[in-house]
Amino acid sequence: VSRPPLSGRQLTLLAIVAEGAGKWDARWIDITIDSRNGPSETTVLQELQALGNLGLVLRDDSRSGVGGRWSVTEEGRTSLNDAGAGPRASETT
Amino acid sequence: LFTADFTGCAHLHITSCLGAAFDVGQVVDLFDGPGDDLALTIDDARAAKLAREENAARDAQKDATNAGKDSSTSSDPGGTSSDGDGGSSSSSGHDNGTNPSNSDPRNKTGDGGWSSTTTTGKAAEDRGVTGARGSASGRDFDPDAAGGPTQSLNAADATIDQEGVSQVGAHLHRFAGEGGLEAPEQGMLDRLTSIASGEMEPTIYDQNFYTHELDEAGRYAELGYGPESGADLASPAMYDVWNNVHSAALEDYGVSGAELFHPGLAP
Repeated sequence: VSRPPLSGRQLTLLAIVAEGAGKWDARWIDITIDSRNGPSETTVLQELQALGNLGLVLRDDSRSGVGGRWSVTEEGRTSLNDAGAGPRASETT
Repeated sequence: LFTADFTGCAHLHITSCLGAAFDVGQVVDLFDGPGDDLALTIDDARAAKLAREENAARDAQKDATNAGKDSSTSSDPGGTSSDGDGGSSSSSGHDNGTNPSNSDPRNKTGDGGWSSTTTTGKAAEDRGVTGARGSASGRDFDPDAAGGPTQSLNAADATIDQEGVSQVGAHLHRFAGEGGLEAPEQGMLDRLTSIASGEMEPTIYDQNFYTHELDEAGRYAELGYGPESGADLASPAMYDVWNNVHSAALEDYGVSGAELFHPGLAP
């Protein structure tokens, strides 16, 4: 069963999570997407959890970080590549 | 070509339109495919800000109309209560009608008036989310758990001084991991340090950031999470608390998340 296509907001959020390379917590991901793209209907943590339910991102609570630190899974990276929407090349590590 | 109300990320509510293939009031699904909407999202913060300004103007007009209707029935002698009006304004239930204490960093602007600026009610309830959307920030948050009611303050009134900058730095470091502050935060802190020492003049972004962080710190303190509490603000479990105080602090100064960082330092 194929998954419905991701929305533009979801792809943007996914790209920002990828940009953080697993180092950014939900607070900083929130500040970043709010600064660049504005807020959404729900909280960013809820948006991240929705992406997590799709298997596209992973939450890491083993380290300090407001709302956990988030990284993109292989499946998430594939989705980004398929959409041609990777993280900012200049800011990836 | 048109102005729009971003009611969600996947839809656009056209509020006015000149010569485009959309009708006023039409909800347009922008996201037929996974990549075709990315160009839109690049600059939608600016568009969203314009839309918010239009909405605020509309809300103000409605409020003015409602105020006229309510004036004959109101039992609030000072006209300051926002309780129980059933309209678009919200009450946080925290000391309405009182000014913040002198120790509250939010007083640094010298504007102590309390007012409620968030919108609540059916739309938020229908979404099953926290219950309020900030009229300035557009953010979903719980004003009843934000360390006090939102106010109407003006960042441009703030004077950036060394003591305040120290407080901003201390507050930001409570979120910092092993790698220190994020580069945009460090950059803004460096700017504030230079401004406080008289090396440069502040921009509105500096004043927004400065007042926002002080306000946020004050709201954490009101909730019992001040520096002396020893609370770990960077705990994974603290997102909702942060979201509430961050959003309320944006509402206090009527700014969006796009107006906090100097353009050259934006995340």
